[in-house]
Amino acid sequence: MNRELTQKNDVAMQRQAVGFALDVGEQLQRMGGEIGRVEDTVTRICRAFGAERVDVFGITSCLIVTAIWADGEIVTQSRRVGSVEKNMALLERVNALSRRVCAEQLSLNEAKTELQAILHAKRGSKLRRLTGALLVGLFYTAFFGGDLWDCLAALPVAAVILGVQLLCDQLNGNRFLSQMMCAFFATAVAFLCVAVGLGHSAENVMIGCIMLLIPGVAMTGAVENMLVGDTVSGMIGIFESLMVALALAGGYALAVTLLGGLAV
Amino acid sequence: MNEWIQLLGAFGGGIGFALIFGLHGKQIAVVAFGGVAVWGCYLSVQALGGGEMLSTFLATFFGGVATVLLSRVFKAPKTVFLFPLLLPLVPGSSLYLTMRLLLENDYHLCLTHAVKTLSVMLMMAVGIIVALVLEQAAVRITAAIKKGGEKKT
Repeated sequence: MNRELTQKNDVAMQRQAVGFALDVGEQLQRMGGEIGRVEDTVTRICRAFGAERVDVFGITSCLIVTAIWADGEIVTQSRRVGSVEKNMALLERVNALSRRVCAEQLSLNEAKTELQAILHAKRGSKLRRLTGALLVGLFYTAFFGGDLWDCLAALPVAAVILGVQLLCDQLNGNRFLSQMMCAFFATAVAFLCVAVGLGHSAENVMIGCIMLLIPGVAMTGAVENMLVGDTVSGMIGIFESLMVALALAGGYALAVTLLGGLAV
Repeated sequence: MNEWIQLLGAFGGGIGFALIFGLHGKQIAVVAFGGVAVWGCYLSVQALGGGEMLSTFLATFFGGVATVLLSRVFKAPKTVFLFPLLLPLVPGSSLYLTMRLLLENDYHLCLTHAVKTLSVMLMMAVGIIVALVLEQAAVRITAAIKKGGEKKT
Protein backbone atom coordinates (compact mmCIF):
# COMPACT_ATOMS: atom_id res chain seq x y z
CA MET A 1 0.00 0.00 0.00
CA ASN A 2 2.84 2.35 0.69
CA ARG A 3 4.05 1.84 -2.91
CA GLU A 4 0.67 2.78 -4.27
CA LEU A 5 0.85 5.97 -2.25
CA THR A 6 4.31 6.98 -3.42
CA GLN A 7 3.57 6.26 -7.05
CA LYS A 8 0.40 8.27 -7.09
CA ASN A 9 2.20 11.28 -5.62
CA ASP A 10 -1.12 12.14 -4.13
CA VAL A 11 -0.61 15.19 -1.95
CA ALA A 12 -4.02 14.91 -0.36
CA MET A 13 -3.24 11.33 0.70
CA GLN A 14 0.15 12.35 2.08
CA ARG A 15 -1.46 15.05 4.16
CA GLN A 16 -4.04 12.64 5.44
CA ALA A 17 -1.35 10.12 6.32
CA VAL A 18 0.55 12.68 8.39
CA GLY A 19 -2.72 13.77 10.00
CA PHE A 20 -3.49 10.18 10.92
CA ALA A 21 0.00 9.67 12.37
CA LEU A 22 -0.61 12.76 14.52
CA ASP A 23 -4.01 11.43 15.60
CA VAL A 24 -2.36 8.26 16.85
CA GLY A 25 0.48 10.16 18.49
CA GLU A 26 -1.92 12.54 20.19
CA GLN A 27 -3.96 9.71 21.66
CA LEU A 28 -0.88 7.79 22.83
CA GLN A 29 0.42 10.90 24.54
CA ARG A 30 -2.91 11.71 26.17
CA MET A 31 -3.23 8.19 27.54
CA GLY A 32 0.13 8.27 29.23
CA GLY A 33 2.61 7.01 26.64
CA GLU A 34 6.10 8.42 27.16
CA ILE A 35 7.27 11.09 24.78
CA GLY A 36 10.10 9.18 23.14
CA ARG A 37 7.75 6.38 22.30
CA VAL A 38 5.16 8.75 20.83
CA GLU A 39 7.76 10.37 18.58
CA ASP A 40 8.94 6.95 17.49
CA THR A 41 5.41 5.77 16.65
CA VAL A 42 4.59 8.89 14.62
CA THR A 43 7.83 8.45 12.66
CA ARG A 44 7.09 4.82 11.91
CA ILE A 45 3.55 5.48 10.76
CA CYS A 46 4.66 8.25 8.38
CA ARG A 47 7.33 5.92 6.99
CA ALA A 48 4.76 3.16 6.56
CA PHE A 49 2.79 5.52 4.33
CA GLY A 50 5.81 6.20 2.19
CA ALA A 51 7.57 9.21 3.71
CA GLU A 52 11.32 9.24 3.08
CA ARG A 53 12.36 11.41 5.97
CA VAL A 54 10.33 12.20 9.07
CA ASP A 55 11.17 14.73 11.78
CA VAL A 56 9.03 14.70 14.88
CA PHE A 57 9.31 16.90 17.91
CA GLY A 58 7.01 16.37 20.84
CA ILE A 59 6.64 18.01 24.20
CA THR A 60 3.96 17.40 26.78
CA SER A 61 1.33 19.57 25.12
CA CYS A 62 2.38 19.68 21.48
CA LEU A 63 3.47 17.51 18.55
CA ILE A 64 5.14 18.80 15.38
CA VAL A 65 5.85 16.62 12.35
CA THR A 66 7.53 17.29 9.05
CA ALA A 67 7.47 14.44 6.57
CA ILE A 68 9.31 14.54 3.25
CA TRP A 69 8.29 12.27 0.39
CA ALA A 70 10.49 11.00 -2.43
CA ASP A 71 8.72 13.28 -4.92
CA GLY A 72 9.86 16.29 -2.92
CA GLU A 73 6.51 16.96 -1.32
CA ILE A 74 6.89 18.30 2.23
CA VAL A 75 4.06 18.03 4.72
CA THR A 76 4.24 19.78 8.07
CA GLN A 77 1.51 19.60 10.67
CA SER A 78 1.30 20.30 14.35
CA ARG A 79 -1.11 19.23 17.02
CA ARG A 80 -1.98 20.65 20.40
CA VAL A 81 -2.27 17.76 22.81
CA GLY A 82 -5.04 18.26 25.33
CA SER A 83 -5.62 17.08 28.82
CA VAL A 84 -4.23 13.78 29.99
CA GLU A 85 -6.54 10.83 30.49
CA LYS A 86 -4.58 7.89 31.87
CA ASN A 87 -6.19 4.83 30.36
CA MET A 88 -3.97 1.84 29.82
CA ALA A 89 -6.60 -0.28 28.05
CA LEU A 90 -7.04 2.34 25.33
CA LEU A 91 -3.29 3.01 25.20
CA GLU A 92 -2.77 -0.67 24.51
CA ARG A 93 -5.38 -0.77 21.74
CA VAL A 94 -4.09 2.36 20.00
CA ASN A 95 -0.59 0.93 20.23
CA ALA A 96 -1.71 -2.38 18.71
CA LEU A 97 -3.39 -0.45 15.88
CA SER A 98 -0.20 1.50 15.19
CA ARG A 99 1.76 -1.74 15.00
CA ARG A 100 -0.62 -3.13 12.41
CA VAL A 101 -0.41 0.07 10.39
CA CYS A 102 3.38 -0.14 10.41
CA ALA A 103 3.23 -3.77 9.31
CA GLU A 104 1.20 -2.37 6.36
CA GLN A 105 -1.79 -4.53 7.00
CA LEU A 106 -4.26 -1.67 6.83
CA SER A 107 -5.14 1.03 4.34
CA LEU A 108 -5.32 4.59 5.55
CA ASN A 109 -9.11 4.67 5.57
CA GLU A 110 -9.40 1.36 7.39
CA ALA A 111 -6.91 2.56 9.98
CA LYS A 112 -8.85 5.80 10.46
CA THR A 113 -12.14 4.01 11.03
CA GLU A 114 -10.48 1.66 13.49
CA LEU A 115 -9.00 4.54 15.46
CA GLN A 116 -12.40 6.19 15.66
CA ALA A 117 -13.93 2.88 16.80
CA ILE A 118 -11.35 2.60 19.57
CA LEU A 119 -11.89 6.17 20.71
CA HIS A 120 -15.66 5.76 20.81
CA ALA A 121 -15.51 2.43 22.62
CA LYS A 122 -16.86 2.30 26.13
CA ARG A 123 -14.51 3.66 28.77
CA GLY A 124 -13.99 1.88 32.06
CA SER A 125 -17.21 2.20 34.02
CA LYS A 126 -17.55 4.41 37.06
CA LEU A 127 -18.27 1.38 39.20
CA ARG A 128 -14.90 -0.05 38.25
CA ARG A 129 -13.17 3.16 39.19
CA LEU A 130 -15.09 3.32 42.46
CA THR A 131 -14.12 -0.25 43.31
CA GLY A 132 -10.53 0.60 42.45
CA ALA A 133 -10.52 3.73 44.60
CA LEU A 134 -12.06 1.90 47.57
CA LEU A 135 -9.49 -0.89 47.31
CA VAL A 136 -6.64 1.60 47.10
CA GLY A 137 -7.90 3.53 50.14
CA LEU A 138 -8.51 0.39 52.17
CA PHE A 139 -5.28 -1.42 51.41
CA TYR A 140 -2.88 1.48 51.27
CA THR A 141 -4.09 2.67 54.66
CA ALA A 142 -3.16 -0.77 55.97
CA PHE A 143 0.09 -0.59 54.02
CA PHE A 144 1.13 2.62 55.76
CA GLY A 145 0.37 1.27 59.20
CA GLY A 146 -3.28 2.11 59.86
CA ASP A 147 -5.29 -0.26 62.06
CA LEU A 148 -8.55 -1.93 61.07
CA TRP A 149 -10.72 1.05 62.00
CA ASP A 150 -8.50 3.42 60.04
CA CYS A 151 -8.90 1.17 57.02
CA LEU A 152 -12.67 1.30 57.35
CA ALA A 153 -12.55 5.08 57.68
CA ALA A 154 -10.54 5.17 54.46
CA LEU A 155 -13.52 3.84 52.49
CA PRO A 156 -15.74 6.95 52.69
CA VAL A 157 -12.67 9.15 52.16
CA ALA A 158 -11.70 7.29 48.98
CA ALA A 159 -15.30 7.41 47.75
CA VAL A 160 -15.40 11.17 48.34
CA ILE A 161 -12.14 11.65 46.42
CA LEU A 162 -13.49 9.79 43.41
CA GLY A 163 -16.83 11.59 43.64
CA VAL A 164 -15.20 15.02 43.65
CA GLN A 165 -12.90 13.97 40.81
CA LEU A 166 -15.81 12.83 38.65
CA LEU A 167 -17.79 15.95 39.49
CA CYS A 168 -14.89 18.22 38.54
CA ASP A 169 -14.40 16.29 35.29
CA GLN A 170 -18.07 16.83 34.47
CA LEU A 171 -17.85 20.54 35.19
CA ASN A 172 -14.77 20.60 32.97
CA GLY A 173 -12.93 22.13 35.85
CA ASN A 174 -9.36 23.19 36.16
CA ARG A 175 -7.04 20.35 37.16
CA PHE A 176 -5.42 22.15 40.07
CA LEU A 177 -8.75 23.29 41.43
CA SER A 178 -10.05 19.73 41.16
CA GLN A 179 -7.03 18.45 43.04
CA MET A 180 -7.45 21.06 45.73
CA MET A 181 -11.14 20.26 46.19
CA CYS A 182 -10.34 16.55 46.40
CA ALA A 183 -7.74 17.17 49.10
CA PHE A 184 -10.06 19.51 50.97
CA PHE A 185 -13.05 17.17 51.06
CA ALA A 186 -10.90 14.11 51.70
CA THR A 187 -9.26 15.75 54.72
CA ALA A 188 -12.59 17.05 55.97
CA VAL A 189 -14.21 13.61 55.73
CA ALA A 190 -11.19 11.96 57.36
CA PHE A 191 -11.44 14.39 60.29
CA LEU A 192 -15.19 13.82 60.54
CA CYS A 193 -14.76 10.05 60.56
CA VAL A 194 -12.19 10.21 63.32
CA ALA A 195 -14.34 12.67 65.29
CA VAL A 196 -17.31 10.29 65.01
CA GLY A 197 -15.12 7.46 66.22
CA LEU A 198 -14.54 5.57 62.99
CA GLY A 199 -10.78 5.37 62.75
CA HIS A 200 -8.18 6.39 65.29
CA SER A 201 -5.77 8.47 63.32
CA ALA A 202 -6.82 10.87 60.58
CA GLU A 203 -3.18 10.97 59.57
CA ASN A 204 -3.04 7.28 58.70
CA VAL A 205 -6.27 7.53 56.74
CA MET A 206 -4.97 10.54 54.84
CA ILE A 207 -1.63 8.96 53.98
CA GLY A 208 -3.43 5.93 52.55
CA CYS A 209 -6.02 7.86 50.57
CA ILE A 210 -3.56 10.46 49.35
CA MET A 211 -2.06 7.73 47.17
CA LEU A 212 -5.06 8.38 44.92
CA LEU A 213 -4.03 11.99 44.52
CA ILE A 214 -0.26 12.31 44.66
CA PRO A 215 1.52 12.87 41.38
CA GLY A 216 4.19 10.30 42.24
CA VAL A 217 3.84 8.40 39.00
CA ALA A 218 3.80 11.57 36.91
CA MET A 219 6.87 12.87 38.71
CA THR A 220 8.86 9.66 38.32
CA GLY A 221 7.91 9.61 34.64
CA ALA A 222 9.04 13.21 34.29
CA VAL A 223 12.40 12.55 35.92
CA GLU A 224 12.79 9.55 33.64
CA ASN A 225 12.03 11.76 30.61
CA MET A 226 14.76 14.15 31.68
CA LEU A 227 17.30 11.41 32.23
CA VAL A 228 16.79 10.01 28.72
CA GLY A 229 17.20 13.42 27.13
CA ASP A 230 13.66 14.75 26.73
CA THR A 231 14.58 17.62 28.99
CA VAL A 232 11.82 20.03 28.03
CA SER A 233 9.02 17.49 28.54
CA GLY A 234 10.67 16.39 31.76
CA MET A 235 10.76 19.93 33.09
CA ILE A 236 7.14 20.55 32.17
CA GLY A 237 6.20 17.28 33.84
CA ILE A 238 8.14 18.00 37.03
CA PHE A 239 6.71 21.48 37.27
CA GLU A 240 3.19 20.21 36.70
CA SER A 241 3.59 17.56 39.38
CA LEU A 242 4.91 20.17 41.79
CA MET A 243 1.89 22.36 41.08
CA VAL A 244 -0.41 19.40 41.62
CA ALA A 245 1.35 18.63 44.90
CA LEU A 246 0.99 22.28 45.93
CA ALA A 247 -2.73 22.21 45.12
CA LEU A 248 -2.98 19.09 47.25
CA ALA A 249 -1.20 20.81 50.11
CA GLY A 250 -3.45 23.86 49.68
CA GLY A 251 -6.66 21.87 49.95
CA TYR A 252 -5.29 20.00 52.93
CA ALA A 253 -4.23 23.24 54.63
CA LEU A 254 -7.65 24.76 54.12
CA ALA A 255 -9.35 21.76 55.70
CA VAL A 256 -6.94 21.70 58.62
CA THR A 257 -7.42 25.39 59.42
CA LEU A 258 -11.20 25.13 59.16
CA LEU A 259 -11.74 21.79 60.84
CA GLY A 260 -8.49 21.14 62.68
CA GLY A 261 -10.27 21.37 66.04
CA LEU A 262 -12.36 18.29 65.24
CA ALA A 263 -9.54 15.80 65.49
CA VAL A 264 -5.93 15.90 66.49
CA MET B 1 3.65 -9.30 61.09
CA ASN B 2 3.94 -5.73 59.90
CA GLU B 3 5.63 -6.85 56.71
CA TRP B 4 2.85 -9.28 55.90
CA ILE B 5 0.27 -6.53 56.26
CA GLN B 6 2.32 -4.36 53.94
CA LEU B 7 2.53 -7.12 51.36
CA LEU B 8 -1.21 -7.65 51.60
CA GLY B 9 -1.70 -3.90 51.27
CA ALA B 10 0.47 -3.82 48.15
CA PHE B 11 -1.61 -6.66 46.70
CA GLY B 12 -5.02 -5.07 47.30
CA GLY B 13 -3.80 -1.60 46.40
CA GLY B 14 -2.35 -3.04 43.19
CA ILE B 15 -5.75 -4.45 42.21
CA GLY B 16 -7.30 -1.08 43.00
CA PHE B 17 -4.89 0.90 40.85
CA ALA B 18 -5.15 -1.67 38.05
CA LEU B 19 -8.92 -1.07 38.01
CA ILE B 20 -8.48 2.71 38.04
CA PHE B 21 -5.91 2.60 35.21
CA GLY B 22 -8.28 0.46 33.14
CA LEU B 23 -6.25 -2.76 32.99
CA HIS B 24 -8.22 -5.92 32.37
CA GLY B 25 -8.25 -9.69 32.83
CA LYS B 26 -4.96 -11.38 33.58
CA GLN B 27 -3.12 -8.05 33.65
CA ILE B 28 -4.83 -7.13 36.91
CA ALA B 29 -3.63 -10.29 38.64
CA VAL B 30 -0.14 -9.90 37.17
CA VAL B 31 0.12 -6.31 38.37
CA ALA B 32 -1.15 -7.19 41.86
CA PHE B 33 1.30 -10.06 42.34
CA GLY B 34 4.05 -8.04 40.68
CA GLY B 35 3.47 -5.20 43.14
CA VAL B 36 3.81 -7.67 46.00
CA ALA B 37 7.04 -8.99 44.49
CA VAL B 38 8.43 -5.47 44.08
CA TRP B 39 7.62 -4.60 47.67
CA GLY B 40 9.02 -7.97 48.79
CA CYS B 41 12.22 -7.10 46.99
CA TYR B 42 12.35 -3.74 48.78
CA LEU B 43 11.78 -5.38 52.17
CA SER B 44 14.36 -8.11 51.58
CA VAL B 45 17.06 -5.65 50.58
CA GLN B 46 16.28 -3.67 53.71
CA ALA B 47 16.38 -6.82 55.83
CA LEU B 48 19.81 -7.55 54.39
CA GLY B 49 20.97 -4.18 55.62
CA GLY B 50 20.46 -2.02 52.51
CA GLY B 51 19.50 1.60 53.07
CA GLU B 52 16.31 3.16 51.77
CA MET B 53 17.92 4.44 48.57
CA LEU B 54 19.52 1.12 47.69
CA SER B 55 16.32 -0.78 48.42
CA THR B 56 14.29 1.61 46.29
CA PHE B 57 16.76 1.37 43.45
CA LEU B 58 16.93 -2.42 43.46
CA ALA B 59 13.17 -2.84 43.84
CA THR B 60 12.54 -0.43 40.96
CA PHE B 61 15.13 -2.20 38.87
CA PHE B 62 13.39 -5.48 39.61
CA GLY B 63 10.05 -3.90 38.65
CA GLY B 64 11.60 -2.55 35.46
CA VAL B 65 12.89 -5.96 34.42
CA ALA B 66 9.49 -7.49 35.20
CA THR B 67 7.87 -4.77 33.09
CA VAL B 68 10.12 -5.49 30.13
CA LEU B 69 9.30 -9.21 30.30
CA LEU B 70 5.57 -8.64 30.82
CA SER B 71 5.29 -6.14 27.98
CA ARG B 72 6.82 -8.74 25.69
CA VAL B 73 4.54 -11.53 26.90
CA PHE B 74 1.39 -9.40 26.63
CA LYS B 75 2.60 -7.43 23.57
CA ALA B 76 1.59 -4.20 25.29
CA PRO B 77 3.39 -0.89 25.85
CA LYS B 78 5.62 -0.83 28.92
CA THR B 79 3.73 2.02 30.55
CA VAL B 80 0.81 -0.35 31.10
CA PHE B 81 2.80 -2.37 33.64
CA LEU B 82 5.58 -0.09 34.80
CA PHE B 83 3.73 2.39 36.96
CA PRO B 84 1.11 0.08 38.48
CA LEU B 85 3.97 -2.23 39.53
CA LEU B 86 5.98 0.54 41.16
CA LEU B 87 3.18 2.15 43.13
CA PRO B 88 4.11 0.67 46.53
CA LEU B 89 7.47 2.43 46.21
CA VAL B 90 5.96 5.88 45.66
CA PRO B 91 6.91 7.86 48.78
CA GLY B 92 3.36 8.77 49.81
CA SER B 93 3.99 9.07 53.52
CA SER B 94 7.02 11.32 53.24
CA LEU B 95 5.16 13.56 50.79
CA TYR B 96 2.32 13.81 53.28
CA LEU B 97 4.75 14.59 56.09
CA THR B 98 6.42 17.27 53.98
CA MET B 99 3.03 18.88 53.54
CA ARG B 100 2.04 18.61 57.19
CA LEU B 101 5.34 19.90 58.53
CA LEU B 102 5.18 22.85 56.15
CA LEU B 103 1.83 23.77 57.69
CA GLU B 104 3.23 23.36 61.19
CA ASN B 105 6.06 25.77 60.34
CA ASP B 106 8.65 23.10 61.06
CA TYR B 107 10.76 24.03 58.05
CA HIS B 108 13.82 22.07 59.08
CA LEU B 109 12.07 18.68 59.26
CA CYS B 110 9.93 19.63 56.28
CA LEU B 111 13.02 20.10 54.16
CA THR B 112 14.41 16.77 55.35
CA HIS B 113 11.27 14.99 54.20
CA ALA B 114 11.08 16.95 50.95
CA VAL B 115 14.64 15.94 50.08
CA LYS B 116 13.85 12.35 51.01
CA THR B 117 10.75 12.34 48.79
CA LEU B 118 12.67 13.74 45.84
CA SER B 119 15.63 11.42 46.23
CA VAL B 120 13.39 8.36 46.41
CA MET B 121 11.73 9.49 43.18
CA LEU B 122 15.13 10.06 41.60
CA MET B 123 16.22 6.56 42.61
CA MET B 124 13.05 5.16 41.06
CA ALA B 125 13.72 6.97 37.81
CA VAL B 126 17.30 5.69 37.75
CA GLY B 127 16.15 2.13 38.46
CA ILE B 128 13.68 2.27 35.57
CA ILE B 129 16.27 3.64 33.19
CA VAL B 130 18.91 1.05 34.05
CA ALA B 131 16.36 -1.69 33.37
CA LEU B 132 15.30 -0.16 30.04
CA VAL B 133 18.87 0.43 28.91
CA LEU B 134 19.74 -3.17 29.70
CA GLU B 135 16.74 -4.26 27.63
CA GLN B 136 17.97 -2.28 24.63
CA ALA B 137 21.43 -3.75 25.04
CA ALA B 138 19.97 -7.26 25.23
CA VAL B 139 17.92 -6.66 22.08
CA ARG B 140 20.98 -5.46 20.19
CA ILE B 141 23.16 -8.29 21.38
CA THR B 142 20.62 -10.96 20.43
CA ALA B 143 20.12 -9.29 17.05
CA ALA B 144 23.89 -9.28 16.50
CA ILE B 145 24.16 -12.94 17.51
CA LYS B 146 21.32 -13.88 15.15
CA LYS B 147 22.94 -11.96 12.31
CA GLY B 148 26.27 -13.64 12.95
CA GLY B 149 24.56 -17.04 13.00
CA GLU B 150 22.86 -16.39 9.67
CA LYS B 151 26.11 -15.39 8.01
CA LYS B 152 27.79 -18.59 9.06
CA THR B 153 24.98 -20.86 7.83
